[in-house]
Amino acid sequence: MERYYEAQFKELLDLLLRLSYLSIENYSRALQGIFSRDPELCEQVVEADEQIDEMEVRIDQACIDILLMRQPVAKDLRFVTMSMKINTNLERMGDQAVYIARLGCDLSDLPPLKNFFGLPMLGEKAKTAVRTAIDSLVDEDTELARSIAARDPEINRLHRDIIRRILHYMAEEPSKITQAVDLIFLAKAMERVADYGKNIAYEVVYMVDAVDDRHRSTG
Amino acid sequence: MDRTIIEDEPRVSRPTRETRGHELELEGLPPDVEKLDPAVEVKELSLWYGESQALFDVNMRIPERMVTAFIGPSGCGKSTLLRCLNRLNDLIPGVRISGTVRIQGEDIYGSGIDVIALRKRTGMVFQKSNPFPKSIYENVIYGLRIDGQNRRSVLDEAVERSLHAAGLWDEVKDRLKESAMNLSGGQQQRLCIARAIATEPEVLLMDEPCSALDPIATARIEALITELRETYTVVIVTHNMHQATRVSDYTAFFYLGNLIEFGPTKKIFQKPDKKQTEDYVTGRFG
Repeated sequence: MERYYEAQFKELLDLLLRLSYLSIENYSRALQGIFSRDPELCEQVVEADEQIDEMEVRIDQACIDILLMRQPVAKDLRFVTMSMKINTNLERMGDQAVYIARLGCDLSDLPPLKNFFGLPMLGEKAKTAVRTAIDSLVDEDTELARSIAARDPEINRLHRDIIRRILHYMAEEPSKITQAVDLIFLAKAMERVADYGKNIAYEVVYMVDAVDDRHRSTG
Repeated sequence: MDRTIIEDEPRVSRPTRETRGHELELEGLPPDVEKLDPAVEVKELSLWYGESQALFDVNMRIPERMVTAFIGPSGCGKSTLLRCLNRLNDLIPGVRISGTVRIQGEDIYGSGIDVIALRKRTGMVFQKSNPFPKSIYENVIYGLRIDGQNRRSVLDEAVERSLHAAGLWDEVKDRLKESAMNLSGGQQQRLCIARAIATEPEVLLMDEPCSALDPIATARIEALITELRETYTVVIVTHNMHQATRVSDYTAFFYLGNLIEFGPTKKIFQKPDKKQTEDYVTGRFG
């Protein structure tokens, strides 16, 4: 039996998916802006963040409305608490996009480096983690969600490897230390985005199976 | 929303998980009901109203000094089962029962059971408060009077103790001789609880005790139930599922005369084992 207020739950999921679209897209734009040294694109990222912030507030309000009006239990309760946490993670992803875009603006004023030390790959892997987590939410696919945590050590290794290479470069090219330090911050921002993907995946597992995977996995 | 951005990229492969997450560990979950001493033990209980069967092979152990809630849609058998626990169904013509109900180990349907004595061991509070048209004092000691108790000191002690336990003493101590009919609805219901516990029953049965009360009176009764569980085994039938989550330790879900699921309330309302239970508590049927 479909409940007369089912639309309220569907609307919440729809809002979450819209926020995920906005956050992932803005993060992609930030990566493109920094690697193509395009300050205009980076400016667009900063401007677009306002929409993400508004969406975060709207989703929180939708969750509070459901808690107030429906007093959900069982899977409904887990869905609402999950939505609040995923909301926070997606908004933070938006903040990282802004941070990356600002680094992009700074770097575009400085002489270019010879390469990006594997950072584009790290950036894409982080994005894939978030996208996959959202896929797992849409399909309520816990196996897929769990694959994200399983892949996190690989991302952490790549992050450490990039940092090591940048430090080595700094020793070789002291004149480029300013840019190199920015790249270390960039690597950290990307690694955090991957963590948001992992956090979202944990929430999906909790919502679907009522199992708390946090602090248990190899990641 | 446009989901293409989410779906246009190949998914990552799915490695075998090496570690499993922990099942939702609910804080303060009471122990498995099978591990507790039962105040009431129901075995293979079936009940018919004439040709119509209302309960089907119900088996459950209601734990001692805990609050157990019976939930389920109208006609599911929860009130029928509650009335089996003090043989109130005996008064309905055409009722037939098979199976056993034991209270503190004694088969209450066994031969030689004094039903009046049984009902003193199982106090009952109904949906609508039903004080007798007597004074507050006489209402409380009604059961003791029937028992032949006339010693003033015993009766006075019972009145004060019961009204204290029912959270009513401070409100009525100066007007015990006034008619109970002058009390408010919430006070009348608490008086009925005082009357039910005056005989010091082993089990307190409550059939939707708050459904006729306003939210403030309801909150007082709920607070009282959580206090009473220190001393009594409480069984409460309620249509208000949030009331079940607030006051009960264990919840039993009934549907069409069958006990579908029985377990800790937190589990029933957060992660029930049966889909029928999940569908009911989330409002998908019933």
